[in-house]
Amino acid sequence: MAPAAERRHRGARVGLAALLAGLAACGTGRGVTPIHTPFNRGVYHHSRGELAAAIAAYRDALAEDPGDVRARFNLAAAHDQQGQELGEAGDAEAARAAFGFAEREYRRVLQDQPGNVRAEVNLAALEHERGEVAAARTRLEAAIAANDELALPRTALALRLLAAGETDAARGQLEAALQREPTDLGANLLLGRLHAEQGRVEAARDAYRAALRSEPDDPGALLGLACVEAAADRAGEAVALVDRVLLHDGGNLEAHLLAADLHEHQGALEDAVFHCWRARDLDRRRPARRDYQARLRELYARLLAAPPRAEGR
Amino acid sequence: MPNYQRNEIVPGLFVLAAAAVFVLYAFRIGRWEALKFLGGERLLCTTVFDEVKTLAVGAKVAVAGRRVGEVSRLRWTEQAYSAADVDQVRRQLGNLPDGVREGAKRLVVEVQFELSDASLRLEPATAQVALLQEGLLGQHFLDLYPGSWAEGDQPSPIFAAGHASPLPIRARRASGLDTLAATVGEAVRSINALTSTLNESVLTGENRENFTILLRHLGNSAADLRRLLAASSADGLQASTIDPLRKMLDAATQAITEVRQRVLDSTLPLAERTLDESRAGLQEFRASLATLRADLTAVLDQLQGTLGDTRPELAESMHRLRGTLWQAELAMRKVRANPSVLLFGSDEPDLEAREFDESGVRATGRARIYRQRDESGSGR
Repeated sequence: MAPAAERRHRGARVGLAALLAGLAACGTGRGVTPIHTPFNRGVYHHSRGELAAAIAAYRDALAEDPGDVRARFNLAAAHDQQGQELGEAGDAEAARAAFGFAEREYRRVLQDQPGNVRAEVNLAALEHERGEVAAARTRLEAAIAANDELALPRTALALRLLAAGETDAARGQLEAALQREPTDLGANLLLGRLHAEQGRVEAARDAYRAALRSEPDDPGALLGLACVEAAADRAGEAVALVDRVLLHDGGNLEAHLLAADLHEHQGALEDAVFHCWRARDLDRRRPARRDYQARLRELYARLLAAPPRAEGR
Repeated sequence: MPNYQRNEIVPGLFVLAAAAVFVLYAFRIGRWEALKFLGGERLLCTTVFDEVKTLAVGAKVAVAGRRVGEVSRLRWTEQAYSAADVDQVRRQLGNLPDGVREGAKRLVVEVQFELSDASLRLEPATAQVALLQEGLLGQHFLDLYPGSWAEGDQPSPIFAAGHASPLPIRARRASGLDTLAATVGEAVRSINALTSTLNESVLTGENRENFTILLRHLGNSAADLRRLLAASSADGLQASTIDPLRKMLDAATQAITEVRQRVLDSTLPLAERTLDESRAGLQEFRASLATLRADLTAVLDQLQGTLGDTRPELAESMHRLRGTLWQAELAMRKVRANPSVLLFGSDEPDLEAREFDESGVRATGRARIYRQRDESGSGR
């Protein structure tokens, strides 16, 4: 056979072998979509706020692998969140039961993986909310000692210190956390809030900007920075930041509330009314928290009394 | 013979008619020459271009933007350089390459095109055809200028006028960006020509000779002056000083007059003419640049306005694009895991978790939950 023809035949054989190997690989595919495991299904429901479905899925994951620490932690967190929502809805009994489930699962996490910092932090939060402030602080200090390089327990402790009015100690913890993890979002946000509350505009702005460097679209950082800008009489910048939040998440309740305040302050009453309506629609679960009707009534009255806006605005 | 029913024959005829229409249409699309008679009468014209760029058979021929025919053939042909061609090459390149002279042959492209619009009128003596491009990136086509005629002397429509076939039509030089490029080139060449002309005019052999004479006279005058100073005495003042001085002044005056005459007669008019030409070229160049700048500014303004207006839509589109890419990746994973979904489809829902809003978690001092993980190895 001529060398050229032989090369051609060899190429055809290699191609055929590759095709068969590819088909065989397809036939032995492992799982249809990797997202369809009980754990991932649980996270999916959790992200949509469907806590009952999430809890069921996490239980399925634990039935498959009882040692799955992540599934157990998420199960505990789902119960925890359920408890908070029930508490906000006024069902204290059911909330207490949910928190009980959550605490039990957090402790199981710590049995399976001693020193799990997320479980320690969340247990401390439960203890703090139950009024066991000293126990919560001790737990967090122990978690800091065991995980000195992590920002999370220090940030959690700073929040507890802030709640107790120990602002300097809280600031020290946050600065220590940021020395270890300069891009930690939670620490930067809390430091920004602390500076803003104490009137240090530039420092607050720096902290929020540091948070945005690690998470450019984080709504908490954007809204925090918007509040700082609004307090510094830079309403234009504040509105732009709120718009950025709403561009990514048109259903962000806090953003709509802040936008309504900013527009009302600027005299753009139609925009203020629009955002107030959106906030009211989004906040149907907790309508008693804010009196939207009264606010809307007042805005409409001002709008009717105001002269018509110039064209082109 | 089989006994066909009417309800069998009629649908059969319909099918045959439809098939015939499709066949004819396919031949039309494929430009089959044998079916040209279907397109009606056509007037064949020819023209010649140095370069046809992206012009292809089938490209349109338009008059004032309206399609009146199409290009039917492109072929190489030989053509002799005319005096105008030689002049154009000289202007384009600055000098004539070897072998380019009047009467020398060169290879050009003969373009044959057919005009099919029966209402078109054409004056072959003044008609011209130019190569234009559709937009910046489009294909080239032929833009036919049908010529001009006096009032009351309107030519007949092309099929009634009895034009020769093929009818030769003059090619017009390019326009648009090509013109701009040519104008820029010509302006630069004019400036070049001006400097070389000035160089040649001022430093001609004659001028150099005149300068030499002038310098020699000046030298003589200086020598006379030196002699005068050396032999200055009261008695011989007239003979030794005044006369040579007068002679020297006469010689200098004569030399200056000669130089002045030459400069005024030849060099200055030439320089003036060259400057005028260059000025005209530069003005044209400046006008073209101003037009181009205005166009670019308008385009950029429009683009900026469009971008500003559509920024939220762009962000939304990017968000959707990310979603689409994720869906595509998910589809690839499904097909890889089970190729039968290509045939039978998949009813599996998309279970990608949403972005978490962690503000509530942070506010209560809790840790965030663990996110979804790639569990390709764990099976369903």
